[in-house]
Amino acid sequence: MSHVISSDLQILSLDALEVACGHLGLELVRNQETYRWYGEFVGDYPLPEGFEEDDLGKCAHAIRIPGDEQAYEIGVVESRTGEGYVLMWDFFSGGYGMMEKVGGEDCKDLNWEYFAAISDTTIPETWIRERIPQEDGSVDFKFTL
Amino acid sequence: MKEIVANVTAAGKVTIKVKGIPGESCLEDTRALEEALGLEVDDRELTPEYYEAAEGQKELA
Repeated sequence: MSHVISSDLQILSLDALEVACGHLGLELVRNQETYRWYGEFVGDYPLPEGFEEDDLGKCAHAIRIPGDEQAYEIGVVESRTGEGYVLMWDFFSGGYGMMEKVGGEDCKDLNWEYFAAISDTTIPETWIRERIPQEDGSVDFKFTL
Repeated sequence: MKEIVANVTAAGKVTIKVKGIPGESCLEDTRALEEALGLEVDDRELTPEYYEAAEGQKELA
């Protein structure tokens, strides 16, 4: 793999991840056990904690761009250091379109949509919701009642 | 007015701040969100506002 990265976000809900994917034009394919990547580890980037070379390309579920047979896919992989899943993918050459969909190497758009999906099921509808971009590149999700 | 602000970094790190909800009830407003995100209780920092209702109850007693 040319460049591999994993997100800090702890994915605990596949349902929320599926909703988040839908908002970005992506598809969560449950029980797809491999994800499309370069296919060979070239050693130019450190592997995420707890993972070895043989783990690459394998996953419990996968995220893909529907109808795109060229773009790399994102592996939804069981965490080795905690609960839930982590996202792993090859972002070499932008993952041939995947990086644009998820908002960069750190999957920021996917992270934000996942959080939004989680908050939709945990914060009552009566609360007013706002998304406020911050100067440091983060986003404040504000709920008021 | 109750206010919950969750800051989410590009990498997915989440920090939640609650305002306008004195006492322990603030914990209930965010409990489901925190659990769904897998946030640890040890990461929680309690503000002076959290203790306001507790002190008020002592005065009434």
